[in-house]
Amino acid sequence: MLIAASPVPLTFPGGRDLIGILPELVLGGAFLLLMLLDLVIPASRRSWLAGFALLGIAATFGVTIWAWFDANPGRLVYSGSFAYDRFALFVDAILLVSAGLVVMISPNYLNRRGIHYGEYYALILAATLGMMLLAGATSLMVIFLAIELLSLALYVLSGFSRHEERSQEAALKYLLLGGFASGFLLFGMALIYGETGHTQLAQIAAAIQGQTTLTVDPLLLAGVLLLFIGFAFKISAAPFHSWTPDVYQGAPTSVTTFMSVTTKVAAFAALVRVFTYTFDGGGTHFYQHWEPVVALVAITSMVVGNIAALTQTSVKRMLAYSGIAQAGYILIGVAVGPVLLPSGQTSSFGTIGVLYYLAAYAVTNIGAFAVITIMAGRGEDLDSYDGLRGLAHRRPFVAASMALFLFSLGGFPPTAGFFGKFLVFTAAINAGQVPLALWGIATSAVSAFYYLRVGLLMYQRPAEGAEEYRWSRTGFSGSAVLVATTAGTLILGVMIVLVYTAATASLKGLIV
Amino acid sequence: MIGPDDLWWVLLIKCGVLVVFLLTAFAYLTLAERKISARIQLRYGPNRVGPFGMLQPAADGLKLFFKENVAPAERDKILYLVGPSLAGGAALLAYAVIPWGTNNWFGHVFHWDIAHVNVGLLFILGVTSLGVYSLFLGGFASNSKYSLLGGLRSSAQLISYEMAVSFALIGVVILSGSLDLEHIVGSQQGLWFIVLQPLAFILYFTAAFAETNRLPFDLPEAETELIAGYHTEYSAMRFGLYFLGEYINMVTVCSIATALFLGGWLPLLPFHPFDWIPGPIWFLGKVLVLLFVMIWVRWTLPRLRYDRLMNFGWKVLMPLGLINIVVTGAVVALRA
Amino acid sequence: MTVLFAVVIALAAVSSLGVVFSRQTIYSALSLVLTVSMLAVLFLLLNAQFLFAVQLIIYAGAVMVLFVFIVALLSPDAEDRPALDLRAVIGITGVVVVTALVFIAARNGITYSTNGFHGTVVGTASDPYHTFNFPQDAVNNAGNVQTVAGQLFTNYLLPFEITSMLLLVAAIGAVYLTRRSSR
Repeated sequence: MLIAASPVPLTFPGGRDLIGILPELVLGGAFLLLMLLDLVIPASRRSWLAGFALLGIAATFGVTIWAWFDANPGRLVYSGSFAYDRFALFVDAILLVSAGLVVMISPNYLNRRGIHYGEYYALILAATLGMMLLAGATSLMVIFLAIELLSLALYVLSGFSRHEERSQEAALKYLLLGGFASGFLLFGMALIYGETGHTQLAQIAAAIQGQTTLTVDPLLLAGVLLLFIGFAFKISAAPFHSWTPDVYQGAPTSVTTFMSVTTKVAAFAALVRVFTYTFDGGGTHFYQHWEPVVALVAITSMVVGNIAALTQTSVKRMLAYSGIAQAGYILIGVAVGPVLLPSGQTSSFGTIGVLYYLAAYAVTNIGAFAVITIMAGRGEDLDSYDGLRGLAHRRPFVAASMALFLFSLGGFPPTAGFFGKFLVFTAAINAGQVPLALWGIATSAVSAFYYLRVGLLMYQRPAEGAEEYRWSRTGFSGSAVLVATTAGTLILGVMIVLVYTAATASLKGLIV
Repeated sequence: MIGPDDLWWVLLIKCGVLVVFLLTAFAYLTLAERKISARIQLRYGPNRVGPFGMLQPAADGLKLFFKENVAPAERDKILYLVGPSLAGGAALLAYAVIPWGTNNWFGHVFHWDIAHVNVGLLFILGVTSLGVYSLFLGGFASNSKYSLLGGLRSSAQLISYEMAVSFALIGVVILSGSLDLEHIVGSQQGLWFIVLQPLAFILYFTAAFAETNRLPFDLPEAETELIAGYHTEYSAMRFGLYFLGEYINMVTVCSIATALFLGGWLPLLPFHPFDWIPGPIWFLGKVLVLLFVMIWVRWTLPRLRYDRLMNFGWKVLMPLGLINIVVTGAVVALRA
Repeated sequence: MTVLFAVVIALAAVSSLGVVFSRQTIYSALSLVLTVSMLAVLFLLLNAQFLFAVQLIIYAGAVMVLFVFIVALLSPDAEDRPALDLRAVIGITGVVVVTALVFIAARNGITYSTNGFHGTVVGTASDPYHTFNFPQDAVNNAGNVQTVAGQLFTNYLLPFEITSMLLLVAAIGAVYLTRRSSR
């Protein structure tokens, strides 16, 4: 009776909608179950929770694989708020693998730091859930809520070592600046909604069709740019990066491992869906209005990140600045947008570059941070460059894999990072944005310096009389993670076809 | 169509009547409180001013008006005055949407309330939730330890118990399918909600004691430990306003309980001779019964310790409220 | 009605300035209470009674009470700064100018093009405020709460459920960070 009185016809979500969020449902269920399990599992057996979290992630991964074949063609579910398509599932897979690897290295690290609580795994799962929702979000509301979900979990996680001042400081900084960024995001969304009257991306895209190259609605453009600023905070692109080094350094290293990779992956997925595929304006070249800004931010990130990384003496901070620079490289792929080829078709080369880069960055960066996490001594983080000095003589395999990760981050062949960079630079040149590619190549050359510096440190003998750093044992799960990430870095660097094909397929399936 | 409710002078008269009614209710509630407490404690109570002490409230009022206004020198000058004004104001405002009944006169429907808001229940919750500022500001602005403690306690307590109140009310909303108070009363035709929602009624009425700062939940003023808490530093009519707000709040919560659980203006049994008595009289009668219970409880039960009070609110009332919502929702969904 | 609007908007603006310029934290917080209450009244004037009540209950009645509670508990000293300095003046001017620009742009749909500024009408004559599917009369007939609920549990079900997840995570985080002793 009440429903019939509604001014607009209502459509009730059904089973097809539920299938569309099946991976998210499984992960959400694992999250809730984990909280309950935490009640009954004794404190000395908390590692079981890690096992359960891993199980949940694996189950979700399995469902994601199944969904990859099911979602062909994809569809929009929940009245156009969420996309059940291969693009989202591809990103989900990266996210789940990353989360799984992080969960594997966590128990030992948390035990050493004395902060092994069940909430850790619950929050990791919740953050991953938020990221998966962000990857598939096709409504401004879902985008905002997903970002808040993942951010809230990460705020708490970065303050997880709650008796340590540095960790608290990191949490507070992240919270305040993150809240500030959410303000930009919301303001942008409000303007976009106000101008187009819709929160669903599909309808926004349709509304933008009315805009042309010559005339543009200033409020709509302001909304789009504010939205971009909100995203830029999350991917820590300069000049919105100021929180990154402090938060990455202060947060427990396993958390840094997690958020340095997954936040970027999820936010870039949303960025691609919203900017490259919604705000492109179809045939109307609306993207020409925001493209210069994105390119500018990309260049700033590459320059600021790489220059600042040169002067660091803490591994975590160096990797934080390196992450800022990497965000700049990935942004190139967004800035070139969908290129209109002379044949009349659009080339999505830049977006494929983004996806490839994200996958490469995920395995590489997790590997690099995993080394720091695994080697961290009792009660303290392996933070300074001195801590790494001489690692190669005592732990040759760990040092070798770390060197590989650093090579990959620097973009040397035959590692994953090389093809990531190669693809985005090529896309820029294809799109006629040669300066963008040149900036990228120049800054890459600069970056080689500090990556190699850390690499060389590991192969130096410790200075005479210097106190030797007490590294921790690698452990079974730690070795497994290192093996997996090393293999991933090499495979993505040699057999480019694997991920390239998957990325292309996922882009074909992308729906807005 | 313009009904009598829409005429500005009708509205004005209604407002006037309501204010006079509430002030009278306040005055005689204080007398009732003293008389009943006296009976409970085997005393006589006030019996000197007028027959049976009936003029006692007038004497008290005069006294409050003519007493000297003593205020701490180090007070926050603005907030010190805002506190008591809010106390009176919020209490009066909430009463605007309480429905006392409807009448059909000369083909026009006449509502016995000031404003007919279709989210009346939420309106009341919203306005009463502002009431906490009066207590809090009074406690903060007085610049006294006791007052500050009282103010802090009041905010913690009111927020906690507001949860319980809201949760208790949701059951009623599910059953009636409306937030419109008149509609809620109307849907109790035949069976009052106290029969269908006994748990919700108990929860609401328990939390109502906390909302009105009455024993056993009068921690914000607890005279034995906080020397009257947030209004320690108030005297004369400024204190009088707090006093007024508190008693009008009593009337308000009892009126809400009447409208939501006791069938509002509906007669006890839906046939003659019960329905010869007009609706507003029924309403008044039910409110009086509840008021008596409130006074009765105050003079019979001891005060809870502060931590127990919070525990009770969060660990007993709120889970019970949740259970009530789930059960009610499930039953309604299954029967639909 | 228009007068009422003007008064409420003016109060909201003044009180939001109070949030920024009060030197005592408690006055800032209380100004914010007034601001959110005035926003609630704006909702009421726009015929969104449900939003009005929810805004009042949640923001003025719960969130801000906790703010004020914390402020009083810590009772920070008054800030030692002038209420108005050059930066503040510049800030206010900027805010006023931007607000005016946004308002004008929103109202007239000004667009720029290569041959200068020109106006286009946003919305249609029958629907100037972009209310789209929810014209006022239809909503009032169906009931404010019913319309919101109908939308919330059908078209916006997913955001609604994500919100519940969000609150759960927030609760877990708050409990973890404030728990007194480690187990």
